Amino acid sequence: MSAPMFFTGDLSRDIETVREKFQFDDTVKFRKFENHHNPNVCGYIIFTEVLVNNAVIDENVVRPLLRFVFPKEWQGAKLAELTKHRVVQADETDYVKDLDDLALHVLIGDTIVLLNGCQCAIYANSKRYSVRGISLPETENTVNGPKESFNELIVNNISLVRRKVLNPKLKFQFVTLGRVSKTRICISYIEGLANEATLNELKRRLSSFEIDSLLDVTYLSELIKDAPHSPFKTIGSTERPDVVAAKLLEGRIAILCDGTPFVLTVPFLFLENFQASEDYYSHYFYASFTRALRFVAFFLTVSLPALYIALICYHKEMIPKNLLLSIAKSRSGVPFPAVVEMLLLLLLFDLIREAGIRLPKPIGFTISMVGAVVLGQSIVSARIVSAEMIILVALCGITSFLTPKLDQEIIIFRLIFLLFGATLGIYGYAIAVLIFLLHISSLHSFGIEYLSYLTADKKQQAKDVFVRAPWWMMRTRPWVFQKTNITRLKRREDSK
Amino acid sequence: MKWFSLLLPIFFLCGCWDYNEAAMQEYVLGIGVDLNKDESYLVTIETADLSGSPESQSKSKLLTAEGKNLFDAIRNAISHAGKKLYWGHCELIVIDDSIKNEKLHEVLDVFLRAQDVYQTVTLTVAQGASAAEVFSTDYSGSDSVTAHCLHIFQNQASSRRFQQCELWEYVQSSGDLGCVILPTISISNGMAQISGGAVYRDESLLGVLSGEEILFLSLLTEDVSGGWLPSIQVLPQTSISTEILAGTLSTTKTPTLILSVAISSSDTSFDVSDQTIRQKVEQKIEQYVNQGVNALIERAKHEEFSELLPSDFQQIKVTVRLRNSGMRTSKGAI
Repeated sequence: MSAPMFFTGDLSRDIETVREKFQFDDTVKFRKFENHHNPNVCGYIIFTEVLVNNAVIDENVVRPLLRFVFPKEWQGAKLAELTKHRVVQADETDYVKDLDDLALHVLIGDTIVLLNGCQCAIYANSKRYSVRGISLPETENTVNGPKESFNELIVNNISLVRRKVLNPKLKFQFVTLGRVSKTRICISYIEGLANEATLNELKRRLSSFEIDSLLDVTYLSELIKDAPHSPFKTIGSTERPDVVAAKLLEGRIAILCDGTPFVLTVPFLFLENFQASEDYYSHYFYASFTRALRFVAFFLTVSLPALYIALICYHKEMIPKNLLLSIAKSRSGVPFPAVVEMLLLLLLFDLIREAGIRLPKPIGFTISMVGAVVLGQSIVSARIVSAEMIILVALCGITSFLTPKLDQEIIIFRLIFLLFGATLGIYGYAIAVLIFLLHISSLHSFGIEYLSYLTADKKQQAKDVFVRAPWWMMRTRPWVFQKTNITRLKRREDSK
Repeated sequence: MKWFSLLLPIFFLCGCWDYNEAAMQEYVLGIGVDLNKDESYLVTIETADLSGSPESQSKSKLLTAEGKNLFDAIRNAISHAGKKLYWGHCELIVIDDSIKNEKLHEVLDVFLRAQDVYQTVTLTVAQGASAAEVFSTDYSGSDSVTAHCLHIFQNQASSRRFQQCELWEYVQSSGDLGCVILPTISISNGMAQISGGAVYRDESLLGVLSGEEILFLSLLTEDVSGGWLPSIQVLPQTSISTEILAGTLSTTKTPTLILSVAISSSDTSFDVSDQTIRQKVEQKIEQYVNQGVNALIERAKHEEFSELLPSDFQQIKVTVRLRNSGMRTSKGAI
C-alpha cells in the first residue's frame, strides 16, 4: 500500500495541524523524539494516555525510534515505509489514511508516529482495554452449560464466539457506524450456512441510515427491524456466546457492537422467545416439559386478567358455583369495579417490579418484600382489592418470568386483552386474540416469516418447537434460513 | 387510523350491556314454589349470603314473595332482594305436591322459558311439608339447603331410593314415555330428606312411590351397582341387610333379574360357608325382591304408569348370588 500523503512534510506545521484537531483535549499527548544516532530522524508520537499501554509504547515504539541506527539514505516516503516495517515493533502497524483516520486511531488507543520530512503518518497498536471481566449471564442464567457472558468490549466478545467455532468459515466483518461516536460494529456469519440474501439485506439496512452515535445495540435493533411499530422483537438479543455460536451454526447472522454486552442475531422467529439455553443442556424430557410450560405460561400471563374479568363480569355461568360465590364474597365491599381493580394491581405489580430492577440488589429485595407481603396483605385487609385478584396478578407476574424475552410484549398485549375482555367479555377477548394472531402472522424478520416452525407440518421441522427432541433425532438444521446445507447430524459409515 | 376506524364498530355495534359486577348480584341457589289457598303463588328463594369475611363459613338466606302467578311472584322478589337476582347457578326447584295439572305446567313453563335458568336444574316435589318449610330446614355441614340436597343427589348410586330428574329430563321423559318420576323431598329430624318419587303423567300426579319401590324400579330399568336391601329375615332368628353389588335384568325367554349381593350386617352369626345355609339365605332374598318387584309391576299396571318399565312384564324371576360373604371351596374365595 502506498502511503497516503496528506501532510506537508514540515514537522512543525504538521504537528500544529494535529494539535488543532485535538485542541482542548488534555488526554492526547504529543511526545517529541530525536534519534540518538541520526538527529535528522525526529518527529512526534501521539497517543491518548488513558487508552494506551505505556509499556508497549516505551518498549516497542519510543525505544526503537530513539536507538535504531537509521541509515542516512532513509528519507521521506522511504523513511516512513522502512520505519513501519523495521523499526516499530507493534503487532499491527500501518499508514493512517487521513487526518480523521489519524484522530480515530488516537482515540481507540493506537500510537501515531509522525516523522519529520514525511507526508504521511504511521499508527502502531498500543491499545489497553480496561474492561469488566467475563461474568455470569444475568438475564439468561442456566444451571447447566457455559457460565460466561459477553462484556462491553467487542474484541473480547469476538474471541468468546471464535473460541466456540474454530472454523475459518466463521467470518467477522467490521463496520463503523455513528457519525460522532464512530462505534465499531461487527457482522458475523458462517460462510455457506448463512443466507446470502439475508446478509446483503442486513448490510443494506446498516448502510441505509446515518446516526450520530450508537451507544447501545438497541439503537441498531430499532433502526434495522422489519416492523418498527410492532412491540414484537424481530431481532434477537443475547448475552451468551454459546447462544450466538448455536445461532450462527443454524445459519443466522450475529451483529456485535462495541460497548454492548448483548449481541443481536437475525433472522429472529417468534419461537425463539420460548427457547432457552437450558433446553439444550438438560435431558430432552425435562427440556420439553419446560418448553411446553413456557407456552402455557405465556398464554396464562397474557390472557388470565382478560379472561377473569370477562368471566366474572359477563359469563358468570361459566365459573363453578362455589368459586363464583367465593369471588363474589371477597369482592363485596371492594370500592372499585373489577376492571379498575385489575388495572390498579397490574400497575402496582409493574411499579414494584421496575423498582426492584433499578435499585441495588439488597434494596430491590426489600422493595419486593414490602410490595409483595406488606402492601399485598394490607390492601386486601383494607378491602381495596380482593384476595382473588391478588392471587391472579401474582400468578400473572410469576408466569411472565418464564418468558423473559417477551416481557415487554406481555405488558402491552395483556393490557389490550384486558380492555377488550372488560368491554365485550369473551367475545372481546376473542377479537383481541384474533388481532394478536393477525399481527404476529403478518410479521417478518429479514424475509423470514415470524411464525415459521410454529406451523411446521414436517416432522423434522417440529423437533425443536413445542418440545425439544433428543439430539440424535435433530438431523437437520432449520430449513427456513437456507435450503442447501441443512445436514446437522449423520451417522458415520464405519459405525454401522 | 385505518385500524382504529375498523375497531370502532366493534364497540359501537355491540357493547357491555350485560356487564355486571360479581358482588352486585344476588345468587339464587334454589327456589321453592307453593300454592296458597287463594291460588296465588308463594316463592321461597334461597340465595347465597355474601356478608361476613371471605374466610367465614358460607351461608344462605331466604327471600319470600307472593304473586298472582309464578313469574309475578319471582319479579316481586326483586323488591325484597335489593340486588338483581342471578339465576345462572340455580340448581334446585322444589315444587309443592299440591301443584299439579295446569298449575304445574305453568310453573315449569316459567323455568323452561327463562334464559338464565339452566335446563340442568334439579326438580323435586315436596311431600308432607311445603316447599317453604323445606328451605327452612337445618343444613349444617353444607352451605345451603340446596347444597345439602345436591349432596344427597350426588350419592344417588349408593342409595337408589330416589332418581334425580333435571328439567330437561322431565321434558324428555314426559315427551317420550308420557310419564315422569320426580324425587320427593320431605323433612326428617329437622333436615331435608330425599326418598321416593312422585309419578306424573301430563302434569297430573298419578301416585307416590316409596324409596324401596324406586330401588325395584331401578333394578328393572337399568344395570344397577349400588343400593341396599333392608332387614330381611333369612333364618329363623337371623335378619340381614345386603348391599347390591350388581343387578341386571335378562329379558331372554323368562325375564330374570340377576342380583349379586353382599351381606352388610347380620343380627346373629351364622355359618356363611355352609352351602345349605347360603342357599337358604339366597332364596329368602330372592323371595323378598320377587315380591317387591312383582308388586311394583302390578301397581304400575293398576295406576297406569307401566310405560316406565322396559316392557310389558307379567312376572319376573329373581336370581340372587351371595358374594363376598364367606368361602366357597368349589369356586374359591370371592
